[in-house]
Amino acid sequence: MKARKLYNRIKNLRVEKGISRKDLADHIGVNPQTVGYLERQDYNPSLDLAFRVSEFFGFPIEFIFATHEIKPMSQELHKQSPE
Amino acid sequence: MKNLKTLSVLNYGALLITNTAFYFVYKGRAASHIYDAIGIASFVVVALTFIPLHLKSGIWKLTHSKSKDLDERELTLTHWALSESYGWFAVICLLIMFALSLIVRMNICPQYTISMPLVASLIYFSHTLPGTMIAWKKGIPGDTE
Repeated sequence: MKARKLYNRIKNLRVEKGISRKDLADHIGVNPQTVGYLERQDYNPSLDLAFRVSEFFGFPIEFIFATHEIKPMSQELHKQSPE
Repeated sequence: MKNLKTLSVLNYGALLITNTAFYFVYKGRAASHIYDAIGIASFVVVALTFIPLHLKSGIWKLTHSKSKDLDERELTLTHWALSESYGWFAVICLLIMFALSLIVRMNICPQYTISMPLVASLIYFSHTLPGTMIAWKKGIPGDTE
């Protein structure tokens, strides 16, 4: 069975938090290169790693990871706001 | 990644030339000093391409680290490379044995046995094949932050 591609907001969240890939890698227990793969969405993390990422950023998993392309927050908020 | 593919081809191409040249040296051709020179020159190419392909790219460290030092992505990648190269290495060894049996059977070089350069090359090959597979199929993109 071919695994589905997972999309994520890791890069945006990391930049907002103002930390480097190495800092994030140290916190979630992976190599900085793996953070690069996650941010480029070239690698689907295990459930354990996804939980570690969500615990680090303090957001639910479904907010950080999705099976469909994640639109920028501004675009999503713009859609929700009343005309 | 393209650069790593070129280096892989150069590395194994030079290894093949080294073995071919030393085979002719063993066979005692008249101009054996030429084959000697070709063998040594191609061995130097093997050594020179090994450094950027396996050492500087970090692939050697990846395939020769203990599993506790690797994260889940690196473990998956290493597992894939080792299992693929295990199969390829077995097939290549059997093909070499088949070629040697033909060389002896067809009287091309009846005294030829498995030589030291061939064994050394096979040891080198078994250690570098998983890394070469990673370089070829996946590449090692640098950290671009």
